[in-house]
Parts: sequence; structure tokens; C-alpha cells
Amino acid sequence: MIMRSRPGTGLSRRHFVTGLTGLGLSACTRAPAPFPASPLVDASAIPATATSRHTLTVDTRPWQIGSRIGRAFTVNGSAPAPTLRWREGDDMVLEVQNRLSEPTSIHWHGIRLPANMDGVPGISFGGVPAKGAFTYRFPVRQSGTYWYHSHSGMQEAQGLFGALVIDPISKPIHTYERDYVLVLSDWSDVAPHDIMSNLKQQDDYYNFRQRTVASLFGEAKEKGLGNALDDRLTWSRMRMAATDISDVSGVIYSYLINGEAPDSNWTGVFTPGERIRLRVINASAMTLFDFRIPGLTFSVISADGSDVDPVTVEEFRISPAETYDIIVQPTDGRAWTIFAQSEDRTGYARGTLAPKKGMKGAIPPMDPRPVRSMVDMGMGHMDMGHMHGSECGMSGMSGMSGMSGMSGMSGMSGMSGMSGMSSTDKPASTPKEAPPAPVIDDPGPPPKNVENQIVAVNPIDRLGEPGDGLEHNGRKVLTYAMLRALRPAPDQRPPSREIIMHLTGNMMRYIWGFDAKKFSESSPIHIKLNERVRITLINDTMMEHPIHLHGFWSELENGQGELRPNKHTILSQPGSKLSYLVTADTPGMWAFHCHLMYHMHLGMFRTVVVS
Amino acid sequence: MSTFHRHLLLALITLASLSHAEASSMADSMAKPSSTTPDPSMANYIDDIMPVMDQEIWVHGILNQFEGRLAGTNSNFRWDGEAG
Repeated sequence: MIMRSRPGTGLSRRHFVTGLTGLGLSACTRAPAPFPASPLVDASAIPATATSRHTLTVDTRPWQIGSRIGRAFTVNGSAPAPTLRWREGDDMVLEVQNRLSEPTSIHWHGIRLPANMDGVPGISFGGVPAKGAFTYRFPVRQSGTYWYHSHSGMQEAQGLFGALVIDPISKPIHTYERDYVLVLSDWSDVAPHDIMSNLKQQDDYYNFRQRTVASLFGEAKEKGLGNALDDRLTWSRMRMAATDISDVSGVIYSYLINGEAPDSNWTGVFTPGERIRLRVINASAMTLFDFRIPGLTFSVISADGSDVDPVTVEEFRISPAETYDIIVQPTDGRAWTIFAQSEDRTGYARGTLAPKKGMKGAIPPMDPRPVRSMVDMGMGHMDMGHMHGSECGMSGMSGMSGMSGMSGMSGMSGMSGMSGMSSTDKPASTPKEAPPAPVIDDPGPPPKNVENQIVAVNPIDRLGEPGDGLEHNGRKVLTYAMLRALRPAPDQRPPSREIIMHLTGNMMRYIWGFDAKKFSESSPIHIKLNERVRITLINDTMMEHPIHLHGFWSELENGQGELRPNKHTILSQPGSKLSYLVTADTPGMWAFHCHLMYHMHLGMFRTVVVS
Repeated sequence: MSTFHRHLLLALITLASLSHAEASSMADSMAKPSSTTPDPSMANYIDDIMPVMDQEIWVHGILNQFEGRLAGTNSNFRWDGEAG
């Protein structure tokens, strides 16, 4: 605040001191903030019945988490937005009324619909104008757990997101007595544009856990002074940091479950012995969560809304925009902590399953923070001492699924293209004869320039790995290779074309893109209507990127043969290579982007034109 | 304000204006008219609405451009983040 002294209205010393005293007194005796505690309403409640008509009013108001007050975008007065319940087969009519003084939009994440109903301003429509309205109309052709969020500016980072629950038209596969939505999010009272500005200024602005001289002694003790120094110099020469895990951390983020901070302790009530379905949605802007309920195992029954063969695990990593449905059955009538720690271990979201409200379970300590290795730098074969997880991605070679994943064989140094060879518990089926080779649309390795710092020398298949920081932690952790669809995808045609894309960026400049080009310098990706394509992603960066293709299923080639899991968002691990199949059966312009908000806004975004 | 500071400010404003003009012309060339039939071979976004913010001008970014550019092992101009 700037106090100016003008003639006639000058601030005398007496007034200044009196004012300060008054301020101090008012701070001591201040009444509680007039803003409601989070969430503004119980957004997690699943409506009792499905509804095909909704009116969603978008507005804004202050939002208080703990002692910090920020701005929230609300839907019908709620942040997070209310959970909507739909029914497969219904024709939806959703009127969005915008009370903001800026445009807004609602994107129905993972929903298959006409392109002009997808809700991305500039790509699928013109947006919902300030003080205006827009009506979405589309049929629902799927069931499961999804979510919706704004695609305008950074409204999503300030609460404009909510859960979608779609009832199947047929009898549900699973039975359960309780059904809860768990929307994970990251919240800050720092405005998103200011966060982006800080990252643009200094990419490690929010990384308070960098290596220091003191930590060098610890490393020297662990692996010898020479090796420790060599490791430090290697990272320095690359202008990278091994501690670069999350761009935005718990330094400014509060991690929430259904809009509730850890201290507020969102609680789901159960009776011992009941089967509880938890629909976990990561609606955060920038945070990967590692989710578990200490002391309990659970079955993962759905990924990104699509049913999968149940997998029993103790933990899974969920990246922004992904959803997992789990069924857990606690038999003891005590409080069980729901614990979702951020990947960089700077904070956690916490809730509780308990027989009654008010009970609290023990909060476990956070795991050690992960440190990047040369594998994350795309140099897997060069640094075998650091190899972990799937040992170059070649474990489980018995499940090669007819080599269907051997995309990009022209660049198969170190078997990098064998994405179908990931580790799997179950043998995959083998096609009777090899399909014709697809036309490969490969621009080659991207240039190193101001928009691309590194090129992965040997990207590897990491689908059998749980993710950095989750290896060898003593718990059974979900991997992509474990996901197996319950039914084969309706389109089993081999791809006629393979589109190879590199995920690139310059972290120091905080520029992101595909093939060393940010969005504004790129041209659209063209796919013919009904064309079957394989998209191969090579992650040249040392960061994870959850890649979301709007409008279509992404059938992940994870070694499960015809039972490829349908995903709408696929996490590409650092230094990795993976592929998925897409049937482009809906014409129009579609967005294709990283779902880390600041990566998307600073260039990792493309337009896909299907025509 | 000294003459030096005045010239420095003028240079910065000119630089920012040029960058903005370049960005605008690129946006104009890539956008398609809102009311006409889209040409799918050209369209990247519609209605002059950029879906992302990767063309914004970051003044502190501009000021930061020359840091470390000539600190390499040779006299070549280095891009920020270029490995040694």
C-alpha cells in the first residue's frame, strides 16, 4: 500500500501513530472473516438421481482456506462446482449463465460429443461471453466418472471444476453400499497469472528444496565424494536440477479434497464391512498426487471413466485430469486416513473414512522426495546404475502383444520404440497375422534451441513403472501396464498412420511445446475422418506431462493386446516413449495439450483438425 | 530522469512494441474469420481467441534476455538454458 501526503490532506505523525495503533487493535480483536469456510457448499455430494437438464451459473466470490483468502470462480455458488449426475443415453441440455465480467466456458472432460459442444474457446466455440449465456446440447454415449472445468484463462485453477458421475444404461458391474467423489485440487491465494509470471521469471521460483553444499556431504557419504561431485557437475552442465519435481509446490499450494484443506478433514461415513466406491478425480492445476489409504488395499475398477479388470493395489499416482474409481472395504470400525501426497512431497491432501463424522486417523509421514536421474533425462542406456523399475522397459517381454507397440522402429536405439513390451501380470493376446505397417509421420528429433533444451537420446518404455518416488517403497503401486480393459475396443483396425511427437521445452525460459514449437508457432495436426492413427509421444523433458486429447478415446498400447485401456489423459513420464491408438470418428477442431496448466498456457498445446 | 535512463526506457518500449506487433501479425495470419467457413488446412484457432497465453509479453523476461549470453566457452551468442 502506498500512502501519499498531499497538501490539505497530509498525514500527520499523530494520525499515523493513531492509525497504526488502531490497526493493531483491530487485528487483535478482529471478527472472523466474513467469507465462508471451504468448500462453499458440499460439492462432493452425488445427487440422488440423474438429471438431463441443468442450469449452471458461473460467478466469483472470495474463498478462504485456513487464514488465506483468494478468489474463487463458482458454479451455482459452489467452489468446487457441484457434482453432476447424468445417465447414459440421455440427451443433455446444459445452460451456462455467465455472471462474470469476463468470458467463461465449460469443457466436459473425457466426454465424447460434437466438437462445437466441447467447450474450448478459440477451438470449439467462441466461449460464453461476459454476462451472456450458452446452451450445451449433446447425447451421452458413455458412463463412469469424469469431470468438467473451465477452459477460459485460468479459472480452472481457482475452483471452476466439478465432478461428473454418469450412470450406465445397463446393470452396473460392481456392487457397493457407499459412493463418494473425491476431487483433489491445489489451491493458492496467489493469483494464477502471478504464479505464471514468477515461473517465467525463474523456473525454480517455488522449489525450496534444491541441493545445497550441506546436502553434498550427505551425497558424498552415500556414494563417494567423486561420484557426488560428478553428479552435480553433470546436472549443472545440462542447466538442469535433479530436484526439479514440481514447478509449483506446497510453498504456496494448499492441497484439498472436495475443497477441504487437510485440517478441515473431509470425512466419508461408512459402516464396517461396507464396500465403498471412491471416485478419485485430480482436478489440480499443477500437482501429481500419490493416493493411498494407509493400512488398506483396494481394487482399481475404472480408469478415466472406463471399466478395467480390477487390480488390487495399495497406492496409485494420479496426474491432473485423470480419474480412477476404486472399491475399498474397511472391516474395522475406526478412522482410516485418505492420504494424497504431492509428487514433490511438499504437502498432502487428507480426508478420512470413518463410522461417524469427527473421527480422525493417524496421518503418515510423507515419503522422501524423489530426485531425478539420467533415466528421466532420456539417457536410460547410458546410466545403468540409476536404472530402476522395469529395467529399460524390457521386462515382461512375454507380453509383447504381437509387437503392436513397435512404433518408430527407425529410431529404435536401445529398443526405445517397443512400447508394447511393458511389464504385465497377464499375457496379452497375439494377432493372427501382422498388420500392414502404418505410414510414419515423424519429423525426427527436434532441434535444440531456445524452445527446446534437451532431446532424449534413448527414451524408454516406462509403462511398467509406478513413477518417480514410488519405486521400491514397500507398497504395491499401480502402473499403466496393469490396466486391462474389460472389453475390446469396438475398432480393432490397425493404424494406417503413426504420428510421432516429441514433448519439448526450455525450463529456464519456461517455454513448452511439441516438437520444439509452442502453440502460436505451430500448425494444426490433420487427421482424416474415421482414420485410425497411432500417436507416439516421446518425452524429451525431465518433467511428467499428462497429455489430453479432446473428443476421442486414447487406447493406450500397454501390452494388453485387444484389451487396451481407454484413457482420455495419458501421463507421459520423463524420458519415456509410449503410444496409443485413436479412431478419429468425430469431425471438427479439437484441443490436444498437456494438462499441467502452465505448461499448456505456455505452449504445450496443439489443434487437431479431423475432416 | 537522466538522458541515459530516458534512452533505456525508450529502447525497452520499442522492443516491447516490436514484439507485440510481431505477435499480433502472427495471430492475424493464423486466425480465421469468425463468420466464414473454416479452412481446415489453415485453422489453428477461431474467432481471434487464443486458447493459451504463449504470446504474452513478459517484461522481466525481456530484461532477462541477455543474462549469461556471452558467458560460454566461446564468443557465440547463447540461448538461455543452453548447456555448456
